[in-house]
Formats: sequence, structure tokens, C-alpha cells
Amino acid sequence: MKSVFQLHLRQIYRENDWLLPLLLLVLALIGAPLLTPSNEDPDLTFSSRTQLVWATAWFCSILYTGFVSAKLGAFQRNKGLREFWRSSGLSDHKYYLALYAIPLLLNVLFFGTAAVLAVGFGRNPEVSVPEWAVVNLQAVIVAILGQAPASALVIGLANRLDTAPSFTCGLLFNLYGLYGMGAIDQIRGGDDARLSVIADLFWTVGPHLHFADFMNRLTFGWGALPARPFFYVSLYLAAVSVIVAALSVRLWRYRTSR
Amino acid sequence: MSLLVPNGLQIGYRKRVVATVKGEFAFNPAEITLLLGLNGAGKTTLMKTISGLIPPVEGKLPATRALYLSEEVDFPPNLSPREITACLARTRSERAQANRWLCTLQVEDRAYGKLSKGNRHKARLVFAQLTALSRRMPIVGLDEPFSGLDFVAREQLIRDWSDRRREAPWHLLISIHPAEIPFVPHQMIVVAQGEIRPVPVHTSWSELREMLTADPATPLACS
Repeated sequence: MKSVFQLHLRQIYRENDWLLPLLLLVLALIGAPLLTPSNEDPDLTFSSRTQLVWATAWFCSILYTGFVSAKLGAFQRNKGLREFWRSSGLSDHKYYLALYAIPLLLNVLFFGTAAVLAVGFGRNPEVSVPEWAVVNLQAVIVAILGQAPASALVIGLANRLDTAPSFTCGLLFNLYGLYGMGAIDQIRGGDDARLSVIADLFWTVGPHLHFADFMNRLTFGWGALPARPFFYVSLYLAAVSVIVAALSVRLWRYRTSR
Repeated sequence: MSLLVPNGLQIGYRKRVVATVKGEFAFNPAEITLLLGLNGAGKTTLMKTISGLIPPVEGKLPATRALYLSEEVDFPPNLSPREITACLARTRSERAQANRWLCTLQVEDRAYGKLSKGNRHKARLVFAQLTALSRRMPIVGLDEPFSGLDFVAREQLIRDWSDRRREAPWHLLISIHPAEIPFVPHQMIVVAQGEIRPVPVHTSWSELREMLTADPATPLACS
């Protein structure tokens, strides 16, 4: 398990592609004031930096981390490593977890960097440093938990599909959880009773990945989420991750090639 | 610990039987078995069955661990063989041993994807041996390990394996083209005509050819 993790972590590290998202985050920090009328309202500089940095982190996580997950999963199957590791005695579960840890680490890197940049350069002077740090820390935690199900799904699917289809499925899952839920919520409140019932069902099933998006809280200075709701949101997202990972491990099960 | 392959064991995919074991044989520690057969006869299927990658169609194999290195397996192309062995080894001594193997086989230390086909193959064999060493595998199955190797590497491997028959704890199961038997192994198994049977290690080429084609006089007919 440790060998698989080290081997592919080193593979991703040596590809150096992960530097690009970090560069984008720095560029977002520098470029944000240029996109807002900060001359008229200097306070906008801070909120625009925070907004653009966090949006970039989400963008990189959804696209880059999703792609890395798909690539890692498909690499095992296409390069015959599944058989090699399985015959060495490594169980499907441990194999899956060794790979799954890598996109989680990448998300820690991207969202962690976004938080550090936001705390350092996106803080409105009216907000205290500890308060601002807590909001960003909360945002990091829920963002990592919110992105975990997609990575789990993509790795599992890559065992059945190839890189591009599994990446696309992960992308669609993310878009559905992050934005599709908003559309479903609107349908729930609509006039059509039958549609509302169906929308209710979809709303109940979820996944409500939009809970992980703290963008408004960060941009509009709403402050940290109280401890109890934050705990429930984290618990919900962690539960979604566990359920999706459990289903994905089934997809990851070794299959004979013929 | 030996693995006894029982008489009557049927191997194949799902319900499709590829070959049946005729006569018992065992894989004993620190020995070498050569697996001979024409293309598609069932050599790889037997190796996969022994490795637990596919279940037997009929009969049971005692539970064991057997590392299987297929011809197709590939490692991250952007890492050098030494970087890969650093990840696969569990101790410093294993890592040092793997590096010695790389050195002996003259595998270049540059990105695995940039190595020549032969060097990649040599590196793969080292990775398999290292994995077997670090995980204490009782059996190691190598599918066509000599294909694509130059004669220097081939001779080195033969020398190495012949030496290690006394030291290495694992049983080496090697599938090979019947015309290329490189040394006298402890055991030879022929997979042909839907049957898997042990044959004496000094069986001549003409006898082997007869077993493999079921017709020594004429070339294989096309239907």
C-alpha cells in the first residue's frame, strides 16, 4: 500500500503539473484588483482577491485533481499494474485507498494555498486575523470534504472506463452537486406539484456538494459558521465521501481481462 | 512451502476451459520451473490461475501468494528505475540489493519511459524480484522474461537465477518459447492440446515439438 502511494505520489510530483495550479493561484491574487473597481472602493481589493483565489482553487481542484484521479486509476488498468499488485497480495481496498490519498493531498495543497493567500492578502482590515483565519480554515476543511466524493468516484470508474470518460463523469458529478442542486431547489418551489415531488426526491438524495462552497461567506464577510452547523456540514460531506468511496471500491474490484 | 497443483484442475475464463492438468506437480521453494507451450495454449492462463488472478474453472488450488509479472506491465514513465526501486523497497538492504541487480543488468538510470524496450524489460524483472523479496513471495511467475533481451542480459539473468536457486526462497515459474530453453530447470511443464503435464527436464526438442504440435512430421496446418 505504501509502495503504491509513494510510487504514484512521486510520479505526480515529478510531472510538475501541480505547479500550474499554484501559479494560477498566485496570478489570481495579483490579477484580482485589476478586475474590480478598487480605485473607487479600496475594500473591494480584499474581497476580490479572496473571491478569485478561492474560485481558482475550486477550478483547479475540479479540473486538475479530477484529471489526476482519472489518470491514476486508468494507469493501473492500462499498464497491467492491477495484476502485478493484486498478485503481490495487495487487496483491492488498500490499493484503492493508496491511490485515493493522492487527490486528497492535492486538494489539501490547493485549498490550503488558497487559504494562506486569502489570510495573507485578502483580509479586510476591519476583520481580525484570528476570525478571518477560522473562516478560511473552515472553508479548507469543507472544500476538501466536498471534493473527496468526486475523486473517489473517478478512481473507481477509471477501472471500468478510460481516463476521459471517468474524468467527465467526475466533472458532471461535481457540477450536479455544486450547481444542479440549486436548480432542483427552484423546481421544488415551483407550481407543478408532480415535478416538485420528483425534485424533492432528488433533493433528498443529494449530494449537496454546494454546502462545501464557502465563497459567499468568504467574499461578503459573513464570518465563520457556528461550531454546530459547521460540524453537521462537515459530517454530511464526510458521510457522502464515505458512501461514494464505498460504492467506488466496488467499481475498483479486480476484473479478469478476458 | 510447496504448492501442489492437483490432477484434474481445469483452468480457463469463466466457463471456458483452456487446459486441464494431467498429472500432479508441485512448485517447491528455490526451484525453477519452465512452462512451455505455443501461443494461446494457456501458459499465461495457468500463471494467472496460480497467482489467484483468475479462479480455476474446476477444482481447487491451495491458497498461496504468487507474484505475476506480465509482459505488458509498465511503471511510471517519468521515474528512473532507481526511484522506482526506492518506492518498492521496504528496507535499505532491499533497496541496495535492487540497485545491485540494476547495475548487474546494466539498466540505465534515466526516466523509465525513455529507456529502450530491452532496458525497460530488464528493469521490470528487477522490480518483480524486489517486490518478491520485500513481500516474501513464495512463487514468482515471469511471462516470457527473455523476449526482447540481448544475449548479454539473457546470459546474466540465467547466471543470476541459476545462482539464486540456492539462495532465493521463491520458486521461479518462467513461461518460455520451447525452442529457447536456456538451462536445465528443476521441472518442465508442457501446456498443449488442452492439457498441462509435467515432462522430464531432459526431454529433447523433437519430443517436445511432437507434444506441442501433436504432429512431428508436418508443419501446422491452416484451416
